[in-house]
Amino acid sequence: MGERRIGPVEVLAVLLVGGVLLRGHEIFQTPIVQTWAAVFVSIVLQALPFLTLGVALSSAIAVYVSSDVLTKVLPRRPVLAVPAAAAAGVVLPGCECGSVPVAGALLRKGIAPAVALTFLLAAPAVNPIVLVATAVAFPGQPGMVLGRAAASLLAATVMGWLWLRKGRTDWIKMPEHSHQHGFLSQARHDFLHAGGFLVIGALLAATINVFVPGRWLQFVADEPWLAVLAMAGLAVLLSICSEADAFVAASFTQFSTTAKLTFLVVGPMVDLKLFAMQTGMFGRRFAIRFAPATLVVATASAVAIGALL
Amino acid sequence: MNRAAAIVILLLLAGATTRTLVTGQYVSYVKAGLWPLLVISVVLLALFATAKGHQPKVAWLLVLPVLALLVVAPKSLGSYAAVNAGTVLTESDEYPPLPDGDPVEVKIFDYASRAVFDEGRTLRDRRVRLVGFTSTGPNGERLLVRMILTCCAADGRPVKIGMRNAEPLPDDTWIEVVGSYVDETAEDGVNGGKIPFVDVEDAIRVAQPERPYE
Repeated sequence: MGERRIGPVEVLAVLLVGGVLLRGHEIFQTPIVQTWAAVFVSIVLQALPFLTLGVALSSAIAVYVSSDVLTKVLPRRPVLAVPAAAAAGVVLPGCECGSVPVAGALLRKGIAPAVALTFLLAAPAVNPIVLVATAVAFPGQPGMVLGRAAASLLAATVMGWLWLRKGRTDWIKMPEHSHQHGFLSQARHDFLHAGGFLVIGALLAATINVFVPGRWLQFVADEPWLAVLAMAGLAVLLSICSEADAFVAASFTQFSTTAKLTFLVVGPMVDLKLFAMQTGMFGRRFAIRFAPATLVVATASAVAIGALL
Repeated sequence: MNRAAAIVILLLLAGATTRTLVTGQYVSYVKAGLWPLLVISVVLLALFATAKGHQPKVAWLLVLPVLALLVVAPKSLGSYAAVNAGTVLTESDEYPPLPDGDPVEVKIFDYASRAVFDEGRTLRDRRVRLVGFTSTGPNGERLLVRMILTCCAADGRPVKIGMRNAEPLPDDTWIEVVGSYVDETAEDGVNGGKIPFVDVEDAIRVAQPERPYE
């Protein structure tokens, strides 16, 4: 009592007062700042429902579902459980922001990491909403929908098997147990945590979105290999929701089908936003290994399936 | 961070989201159809604020979107974003005749699609009314643009139409154009996409539509 200390609430108050004073300053009216802020805010707003519902679902799993049920549903042998987890991703509509906390909850429940990670990769990539959106964005090209589903399932399954052979559990910072608090506390903690990392991802993605001129792509579109690599890189940098990326892919008219397919397969599995969220959920030691490996496997799967189209 | 700060941050986020919903500003950032889900997230955020537990440091960052909305209050994507991205066209299975009306109201997206993929067959001999904002092409072409949104502004892509016989206006001016189809296309330097043209008969300034994206 009587202690004079600047605490977090005071810092928040200063931030808000500063915000009110600076509001409407002309530097914020410049097109570049306006566009940057619009993209940043929109990524956060778009992710908000999926993240809040995702943490609610993951807390529900953590608090109410017993580990026995989950292990009984999945095939006992991990080699078979991996493709089963990939297939399970097909039925759960949601986007990548929601699947990160859910995969975290599965891990906490003692599901094998290879299985939880396969689910993490497959769920945002091949759910019904995403596939329908792809069909709408590429009218008259059913190959694109089939190719996306096949290449994504392939990439997620290969990553799961790869983890079974090479993965080490000590790379993963096991998500904290806090079941003593119950459903809401768990959800609140997960939201504050994953939400903070989502903001980091949104900051990066908005910056790339605004400062990288689209016309640079024109120079690489005619070189088949460069085009594939450029599309993979762009998918990582732009961090677009998997439900929307097909329309963006369709606007890269000068790129080959395989290059566009690469964009669609890589985006839901590795991007800046996801990397930030995975770092938060599973630790940096995990993310710096898992994300590059996923990028290589997803690109290779897309090229392999693209060659068949 | 302590519990009080976490509560303030959660409530600020819920409050800022509610404000964009009430003022309708949210349609500048996400699809209009997202509102029920946003309402649910506001409720969940308020519920989270009532719970106890640890507060990770990284949660501080959640104040940034609130500050961005408060300080910058970004408008919907405009000319800057349109110049940076290639025009997007999606082919329809069929192009039925336009509805009655003279001039007939046509979406910019629809006009461009009919002009590019159907060689303007259904647009000839009709006067059309188009609403969009102005922008400038790489060779100084006057463009009429509408952004298309699938999920959020991060995936916003422009549909561009060139305007023949248009008066010069500053970029980002919302206008309503009455004009007719002309057989002319330009190439979008960003992605090599086709930009069809409209021959402008009359253009008047209008307020930005409630739904800025098509």
